[in-house]
Amino acid sequence: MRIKGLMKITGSQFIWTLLIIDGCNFIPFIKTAIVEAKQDAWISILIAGLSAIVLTLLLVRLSLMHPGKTLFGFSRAVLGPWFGRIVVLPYFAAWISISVMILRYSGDFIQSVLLDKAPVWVVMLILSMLMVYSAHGGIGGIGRYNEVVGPVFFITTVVSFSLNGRNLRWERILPVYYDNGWLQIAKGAVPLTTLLGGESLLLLVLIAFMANPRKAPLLSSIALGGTTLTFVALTVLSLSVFGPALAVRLQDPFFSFMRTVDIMEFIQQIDIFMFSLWIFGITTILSAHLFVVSYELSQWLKLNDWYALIWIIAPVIFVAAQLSPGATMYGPFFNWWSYYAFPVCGIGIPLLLWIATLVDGRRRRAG
Amino acid sequence: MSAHRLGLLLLALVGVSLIAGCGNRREPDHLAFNMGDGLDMTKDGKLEVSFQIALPSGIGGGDGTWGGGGAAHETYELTSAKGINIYDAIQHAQKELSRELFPGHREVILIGQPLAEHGIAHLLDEFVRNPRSELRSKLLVVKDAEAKDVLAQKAIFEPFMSMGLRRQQDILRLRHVYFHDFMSDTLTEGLDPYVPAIGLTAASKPYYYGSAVFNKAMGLKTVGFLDANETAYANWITGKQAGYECSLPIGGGNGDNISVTFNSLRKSIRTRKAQDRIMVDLHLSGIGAIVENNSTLNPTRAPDRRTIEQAINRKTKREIETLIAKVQREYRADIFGFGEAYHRQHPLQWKKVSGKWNDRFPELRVAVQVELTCERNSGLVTSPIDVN
Repeated sequence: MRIKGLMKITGSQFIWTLLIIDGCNFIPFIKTAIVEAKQDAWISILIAGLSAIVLTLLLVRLSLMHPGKTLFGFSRAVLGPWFGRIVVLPYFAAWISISVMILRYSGDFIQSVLLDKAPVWVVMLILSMLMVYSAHGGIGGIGRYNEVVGPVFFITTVVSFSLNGRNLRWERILPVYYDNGWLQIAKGAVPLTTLLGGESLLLLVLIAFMANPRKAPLLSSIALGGTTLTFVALTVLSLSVFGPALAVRLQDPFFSFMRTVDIMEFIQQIDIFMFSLWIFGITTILSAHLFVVSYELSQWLKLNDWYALIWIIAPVIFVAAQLSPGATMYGPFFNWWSYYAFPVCGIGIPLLLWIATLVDGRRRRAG
Repeated sequence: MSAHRLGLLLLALVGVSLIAGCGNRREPDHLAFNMGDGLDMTKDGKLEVSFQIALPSGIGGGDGTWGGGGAAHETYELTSAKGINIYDAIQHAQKELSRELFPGHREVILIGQPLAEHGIAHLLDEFVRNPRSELRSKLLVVKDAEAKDVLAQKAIFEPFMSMGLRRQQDILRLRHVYFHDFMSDTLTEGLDPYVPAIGLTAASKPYYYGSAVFNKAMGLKTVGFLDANETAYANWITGKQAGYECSLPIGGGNGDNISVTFNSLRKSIRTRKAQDRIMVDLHLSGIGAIVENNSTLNPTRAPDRRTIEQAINRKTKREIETLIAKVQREYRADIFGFGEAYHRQHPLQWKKVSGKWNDRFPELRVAVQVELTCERNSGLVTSPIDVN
């Protein structure tokens, strides 16, 4: 295969890429957690983050059993050419469908807040172009990009925490636990676990490109832990500004939280900074998915050129996003994602691959 | 991909983003900056919204009204329009304007008394739903007048009345009632909202009256007003005010009086259940400085200072008890948040009263304890001026 783009990713690039992917994907879901768990949403997020770390470590472990091989490479190695080919199909479905969702959601959101006179397809087209441009730099290109954007993103977020002090009413997050109980808290945690864990499915491919794969468990735990802590803090802060009852009625508690900053009558409307950084992050998410799908699919199709597939898959994602019904689809989609797609791709198939790897190893040692 | 094709892609990208930018042009000189909204109900029961719009020609430049001197330009325009809801009224107002109404800098939302008494529960959605709407606006009720009457007045210092109203709240050491705070209080069960109220003097000058009490159970309508003194007490209990002034007759002599300014106001609300009743122990404290003393009491002497403090504490306690009884009996709206305190302190017992708090609030027994001292700013603690 012809080497194209940058196909190696360093440790810090890996951390920032994961942080950005998880962080930007998480922002719209603060509200999901608040809808279920009200003022205890931060507990849901904490639980979701910890469970996602456990699931991710298992996926990383599986990937490390096959150094240098991506998902399709090792599933073919342990399950044989035919069955190995079939088990990766759900991953293509999952990755493409979540890209479609993210593209559509971002398009709708950017359009409603910033560009309400532009048609959604124009917004999505621009995002798709950014996605293609970024993906065709290879995973190393995406990593370099995030190394720059990541620190800016997280510094801005943390600085914004300190600007809203006057609006905080800590009593709004009380009483802890009693109003909602474990069932509601768990209901809030499930979609977030599968969301964060779902992003970790990318690791089954990405680890093969790491300069130093043995560090992957540590680095991915740092990234997920960082995301979780940031969002626990953000959720507590935005709940104590709005209270749970208002937070569930806002379009997005995260950006609204940024909007309430009002210092000395001129430090206002800082949400616009977060917004542009968030768009950077969306580009990362989309391009990472596009890269992973294109690369895996080129292996699957025995093509030598994964580049060409970018130009096929990106239009498919764009058209599907344009044809999708938008807001009414998010609820059903994430139900499907939480209760079908993720259990299959994040737990079922990896378990199968794990067992097959062990059996394979034993057979090899025996033979 | 060759460099050539990459260049083409970039060009297309720039082109498309430019088109989107033009399609969505919202330059400052295409916008009408809406500084304040006034919501009123007309005599025939229709909604009327007034928009105070900043006129850049009146404000800009160094010689405008900001600087003080120079030609007296108009700094704002007041446009009113009727509609079946807020958005409808905005659309009707837009017909008179060559620039797009932009609510992103809205300072205040004023509600006229007739509308406030009619209820505003059905008017809140637009403010939250519109992504360009401003949750940082401050909400105020206009007592005995319509909202547009206040917006139409020229502010003394500021270019617009809406800005003047906001700055006045800072001077009064009020913690702003932002629209998002109002919404949050409205949506929380054990709490009723109350917002600052503006009155008009006989000469039609707006002044800070106190606050308007909203009752949620009755459709989020104003059920009564609190004067400035009562509001200061209510704000103390809810933590919305940093300090207040107190003047009272004191001592034996005729016409003897004293003024104290209080700071560092603290509160503690403890709730408990005794038999079948919910009890509230309200403990209020603060530290004050004597700012005027026309009496023979000498605050540098400990016994005299204690006399002053006792008199202030007695008066304050009595007035707060009267206030709480009035709000419980007449307004039946838990503006003090006793319900939320009970909810947070006894989350399990709360479930028994949840949904019925509005009926339980008037039955609460509240024990008030006031502990004000006059020890702040000891530099001011001198003997009274004695002219004899």
